[in-house]
Amino acid sequence: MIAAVRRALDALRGEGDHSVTVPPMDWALNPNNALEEAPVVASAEAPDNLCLFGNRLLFATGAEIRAIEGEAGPALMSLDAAVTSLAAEGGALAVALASGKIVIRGGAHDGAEFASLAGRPLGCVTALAFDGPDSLLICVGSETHPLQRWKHDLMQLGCSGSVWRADLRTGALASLAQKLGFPFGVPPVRGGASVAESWRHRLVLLRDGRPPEPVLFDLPAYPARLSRAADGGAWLALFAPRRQLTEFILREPRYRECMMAEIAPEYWVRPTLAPMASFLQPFAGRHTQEAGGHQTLAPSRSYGMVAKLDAEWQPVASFHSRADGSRHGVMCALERQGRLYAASQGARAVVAIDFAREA
Amino acid sequence: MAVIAHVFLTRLKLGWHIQAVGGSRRSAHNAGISVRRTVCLTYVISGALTACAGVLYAARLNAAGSDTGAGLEVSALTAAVLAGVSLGGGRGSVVKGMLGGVVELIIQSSLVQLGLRSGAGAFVLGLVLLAAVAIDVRWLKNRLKVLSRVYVSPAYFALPAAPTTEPGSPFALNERLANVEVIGLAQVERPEDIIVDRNGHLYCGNRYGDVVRYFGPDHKKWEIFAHIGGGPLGLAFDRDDNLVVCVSGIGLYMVRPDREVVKLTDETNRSGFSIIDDSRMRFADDIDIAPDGRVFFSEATLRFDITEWAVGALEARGNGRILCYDPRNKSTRTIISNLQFANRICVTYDGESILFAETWDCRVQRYWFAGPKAGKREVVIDNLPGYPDNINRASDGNYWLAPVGMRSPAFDLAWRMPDLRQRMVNCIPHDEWLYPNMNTGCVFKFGETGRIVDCLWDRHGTNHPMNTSMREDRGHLYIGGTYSNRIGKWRIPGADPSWGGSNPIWGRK
Repeated sequence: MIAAVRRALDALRGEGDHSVTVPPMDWALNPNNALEEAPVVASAEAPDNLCLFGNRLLFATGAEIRAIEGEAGPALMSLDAAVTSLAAEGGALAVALASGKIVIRGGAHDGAEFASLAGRPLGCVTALAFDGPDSLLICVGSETHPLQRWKHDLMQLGCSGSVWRADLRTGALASLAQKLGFPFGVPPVRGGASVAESWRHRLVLLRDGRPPEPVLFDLPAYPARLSRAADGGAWLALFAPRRQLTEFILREPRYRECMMAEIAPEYWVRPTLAPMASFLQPFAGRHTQEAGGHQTLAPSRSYGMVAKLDAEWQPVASFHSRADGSRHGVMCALERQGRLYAASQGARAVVAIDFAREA
Repeated sequence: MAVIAHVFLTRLKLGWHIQAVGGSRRSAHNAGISVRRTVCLTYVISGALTACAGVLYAARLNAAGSDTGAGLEVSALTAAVLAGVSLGGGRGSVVKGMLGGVVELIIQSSLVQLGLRSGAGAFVLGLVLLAAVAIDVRWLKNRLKVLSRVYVSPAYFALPAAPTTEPGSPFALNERLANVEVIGLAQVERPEDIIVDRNGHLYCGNRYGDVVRYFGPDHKKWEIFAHIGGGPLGLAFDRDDNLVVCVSGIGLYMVRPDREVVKLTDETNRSGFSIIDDSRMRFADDIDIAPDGRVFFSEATLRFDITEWAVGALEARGNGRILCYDPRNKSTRTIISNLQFANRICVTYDGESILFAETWDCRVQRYWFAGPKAGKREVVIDNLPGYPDNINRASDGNYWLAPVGMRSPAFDLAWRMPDLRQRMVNCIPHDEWLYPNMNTGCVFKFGETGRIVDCLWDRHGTNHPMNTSMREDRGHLYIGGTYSNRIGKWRIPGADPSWGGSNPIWGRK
């Protein structure tokens, strides 16, 4: 009741969820150029889904899975559709495909496949994680759109995401949460999973039988995949910045409808994964190049950011690529042997940060 | 009496001085007003007026006493404050004062009618006075905030879909402008327009209000040719080698070859039905000179200054105009008004018409000022893929056009939704507003019929992220931009190397 009254008041005064303000990047999220200056360790068309498989660091690009060390080498594995997410445990590799399938390769359950989740489509699996050798956590971003149409889901204020636990021995499925705003994730925590709810700019903990518990909210960017850090914390990749213009358009249904009906998605007012490439893309006032250069504080539609969270899920450090850079659209970051690997779709590269030195 | 006072305050010198001193003593002093004398005179006038009132009051009461009218000063004060007349001075009028007096009288009579006890009436009056002062202070403090919130007033505007820039179209993208020779890198700030004189020296304005000269033929050495102030924009040479300059914020100026700066005009005729006084020039933009010596120049907008020139795009209202200054009788007339950001002007080769760009309308029009079609107007190019800025003659009989920015579908859509733009302006800060794209450098060449002949792009915007001007001279194209810190020099393949040097329509090479 009180929440409803508060929402009504917020709507009247343009506050809370009804305000178009965006939290600032400050304290641990203070901008720097660490991501922009990090060395490239692999180049690919759309690198994503970093995953540790034994000693090797794998990443997916399109329908291929490659290893970091073999940058120029052939694909480790080619699949029949684009890979939307990847997880490994022991010798087993779980791969979600844009065609709507999850397949297991190697390990005890080699050849296992899921083609739907209790009758729901599987085209938008944003993350997978093994919780022990026999249990797979599946994070579905949206029921209505496949992963490459995430912008459609955002513009329609989608909240049809869900998180599931699959028992690989029996094939039984259990739902951990429903109606999430485009969840990414999804490292297991005791009795559940930690999930980044992208459209709600927050991190929630899901535990069996309990409602989602927000642990970190009001993020200044859209959170993407989470991975565990060696010190007990976590790495959170944030794939695009929140901007007041986007927040404003998200509160303008008529404009959004016309935009989606008339304009190609690459020219929408929306967050993007890569820096501005065409003059047909929308432009905010501060974007203007002055004296021959871009401004670092320009309200760009894309941004690169990885945040280090402590064991309590609070940010303690972050690595950035700012508006004048190009290492934008980082969906995934993974730690290995004291280095942080981040896959940037904007720069089409995987970069490595020596984070102990940066911090 | 009130009429006399009104005329005195608003039309006579001393009245203006009193208002100026009340508004700001320091500014009044700096403007050359004798503050002490004015203050002294105010006391004298005030005393004289009080004496008049005293005489009238005594006549009414038929008796004169030393304590008659004691306490009236509170009523007078209340009346003044209620009228919105500033107690500090500088703000108020006679009509306001009279209205305040009437309101105050009504309040006093009402208090008498209510039958309040003696003393309570004065108490209520005091409360009213305090409330009026409080409201006045708050309003004064937030007035500008309220004004800035409601100032931008978007209108509906729809354009057909922009023409494509894909290969095969006349606007096809290329990289031909990517390799330019750079002049004055990081020396020149905001060369909005450039011109080359007959000796090959290059001139441009900068953001400090100077006209800068780069010595030819290599354009490495430079000097400040003259300081005008304001924002020097469009440049043109007249027959006697005077450099005529449009200065935003000031008006039309001329720099003689001996560097003497002369004001030509800063005022035009006031339009008949305008509520605001639109005779002053706010944003003189570009200029060209006809063979008969008449100076045609544009005023981009009546509503915005140069620092916020692009906000006009959010309004999409036509309030720019084309003016003509006639040096023969030193008169200035408005010849075309209600244009959406009237930008650059170019006299055509026949010497009888001008081409002018309407930036936010994405079109170029032609206006005949002489010859058989005098007074007629015609659209030359419509629905451009960008926002046209400068137009200049090319050596091959065509015209160069620099678009200041390119259209984007998202902004075109917003143009059809004035209410959306209004909410956007109210809700989010200026830096984040959806804007016309201005990070693409490009130059078109078009024929007199409006056919696009050529197109040069700098897609990655290394040297020219935004072009606002270009000028062809002796086989080269010089390119400037309003936010740029350099001037580009591009060799035009096949161009006449002897063509150039100010104004070829006068038969001078």
